[in-house]
Amino acid sequence: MNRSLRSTLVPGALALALVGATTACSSDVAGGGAAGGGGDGQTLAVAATTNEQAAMDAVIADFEEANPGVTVNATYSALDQYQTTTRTQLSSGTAPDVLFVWPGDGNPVAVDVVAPAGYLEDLSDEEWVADLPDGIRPVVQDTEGATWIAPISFSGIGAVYNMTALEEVGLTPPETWSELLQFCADAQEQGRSAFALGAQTNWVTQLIPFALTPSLVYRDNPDFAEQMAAGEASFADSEWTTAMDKNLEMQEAGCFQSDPLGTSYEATLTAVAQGDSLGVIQVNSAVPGVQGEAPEGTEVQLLPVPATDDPSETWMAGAAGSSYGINVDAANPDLAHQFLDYVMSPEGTNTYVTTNSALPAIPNDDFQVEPSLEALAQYQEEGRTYPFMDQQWPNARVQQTLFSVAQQLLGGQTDVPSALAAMDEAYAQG
Amino acid sequence: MSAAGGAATQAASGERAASATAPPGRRRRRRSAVPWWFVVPAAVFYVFAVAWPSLQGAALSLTDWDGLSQERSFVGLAQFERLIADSAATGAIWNTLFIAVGITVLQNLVGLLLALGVHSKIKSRNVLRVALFAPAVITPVAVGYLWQFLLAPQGAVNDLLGALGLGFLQRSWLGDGDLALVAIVVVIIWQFAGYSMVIFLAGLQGVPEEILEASHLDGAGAFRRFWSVVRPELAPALTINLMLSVIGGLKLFDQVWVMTGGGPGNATDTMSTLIYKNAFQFNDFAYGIAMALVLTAFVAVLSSAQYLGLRRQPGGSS
Repeated sequence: MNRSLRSTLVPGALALALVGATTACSSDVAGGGAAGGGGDGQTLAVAATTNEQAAMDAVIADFEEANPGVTVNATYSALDQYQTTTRTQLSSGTAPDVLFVWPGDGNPVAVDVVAPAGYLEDLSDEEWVADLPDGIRPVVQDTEGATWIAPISFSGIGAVYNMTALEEVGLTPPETWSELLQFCADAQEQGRSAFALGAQTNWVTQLIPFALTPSLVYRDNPDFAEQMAAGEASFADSEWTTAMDKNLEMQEAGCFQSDPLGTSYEATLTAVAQGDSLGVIQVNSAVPGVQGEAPEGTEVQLLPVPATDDPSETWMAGAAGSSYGINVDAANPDLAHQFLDYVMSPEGTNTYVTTNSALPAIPNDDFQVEPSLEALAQYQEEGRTYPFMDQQWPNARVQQTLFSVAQQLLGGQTDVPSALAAMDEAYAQG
Repeated sequence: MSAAGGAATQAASGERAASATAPPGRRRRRRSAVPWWFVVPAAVFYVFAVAWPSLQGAALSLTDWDGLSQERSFVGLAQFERLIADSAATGAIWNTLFIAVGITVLQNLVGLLLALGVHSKIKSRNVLRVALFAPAVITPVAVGYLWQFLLAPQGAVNDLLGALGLGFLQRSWLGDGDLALVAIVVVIIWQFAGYSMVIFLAGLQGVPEEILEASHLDGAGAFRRFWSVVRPELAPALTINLMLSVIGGLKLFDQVWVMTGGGPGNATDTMSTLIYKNAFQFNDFAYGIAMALVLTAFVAVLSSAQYLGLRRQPGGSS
């Protein structure tokens, strides 16, 4: 190859390789592909995030035992990777038979993104559909009432307290906003932080606004999401401003450990488990995370985060959690339906949610609420919960914008009006 | 350098140059004897597996495809127009350039110093070579997680500074937007300086001992020997090192994604992390492809310019 030809081809090859690496990017970690039945043994491919692994494995073991000859091959990957892989698999026709799908919208693999593209089977004729609570239907069904995913669990956001550590320092969980600020001061006096905040992990940054807005925004105005969709309301001109202000007020009051922006989610669980922080505002799935790292006998509870000085005004964020859909191109759709029916049965659901420290999306009499989740169960029963906000946002960019602006707010690089204006701008992109 | 000594160096140098150019005809014949069609199987595979899919992917930048839907519309250059007005993209471009320049300069400087160090006759040089190269064989994701822990507020770096009485230097290494970008550059240098070192080491081992001895006899000091004898011989190694570090710096993703996820805010977003976010998290695949094409053009132009520039230098590789 002569010099001039080589000097032309080398950059060209680099350019093509780079585009190829980016555009043809896919991962084989989740693997799987459509299941292949046949012979005496039938197989089913299931994919989910690693957060669901313990629960799904437990259900699969029971299902396989009840159905001899059936093998369920489950693959799990971390959240980011799952989203990337699943989208690639769906668009290339290699997705598994049964796949984890987020309820509502606002997520790259949410039902409102995947179902309209024609990748999910309609589950409207399943028996369990009739039992779906009204509060869950909007995030698993489309506007015409068709059901696209099976919600197994009901999840909530609150403060996960290390009750043993609280007892050691003689403090009790706050029930009003003023008590919360006092709680922060008292914890500081005891050499602890009231709440661990792992804002380095971007999705964690949404949890405090999500914990406060049910009380501040949606309790008084349950139609806020519809008003946003109709262009009649905005983040910047709503009580979201108060929620973001209170988030900053917590920071100024010393509620968090030092350097939240340099602290990861995993580090916060350790801090609460060890009692360095008394609590962490998190999803209920953090309960087993804290329990797993804490000394044996440590009591952990998920409790509501007060946003006003009237405890009766306190609501919790609670919504359909772990949900699964069936690939419209599933190689073994009958087995996929059979599996999902089992997962949605009281027996399957209870196994799943007990392993995952959640509540059943469809309540049943056989379920025993674990002590750490009694408050969430009570709020669910009393109807004092509001779905996670991102489930009703029109695109994934709003949530990602919240991640960014919440970090910038904590770092003092923006202010609340600008942050909410950025979210409004992302929302307007539809 | 004395006249006599200079003559000795020139003689040694001339002798080597003569031996290097002694059989030009035979070497040219050997090169031209390789049939060009040997490349056909590889070229066919490359076109099938890389070039064609890449061109298909590039064409998506002219659509509004969200990465999932089975419908797409032709929108012309609209995605590229969005790119110009996108402040996040502008910030990511600057961050990418900062990282690329920082890595290119510092990684090669450190790599060169390490190579010179372990090329000397110190006793433990082989052990040092392995130890210094070892980080380069660790997967970048693992390195990212490792340093995320080390640079945490209560991590080993701040603990060490405290233990040494340097508590005033303790920082929020990954929580402060400005510092986080610098921290990422330092971590990349930690990981890949050994890689550059190995390439420089290969170059150093090609420096003829007789010329070094001759220049030593001429009275040249260590710096003079490096500058006048070693440096020109290292030009090919420098060329490849610079090219690799520029390309690596421009398309950096793994360590940034693991250590900061592009945050806090968008403070450490690079072109690659923003491409990933748009393509796979924002359901904005076509826009992500448009960004990828711009990054590709960046890499192609910068690496070509650098390659051509270095090739024209005395001793540059061809």
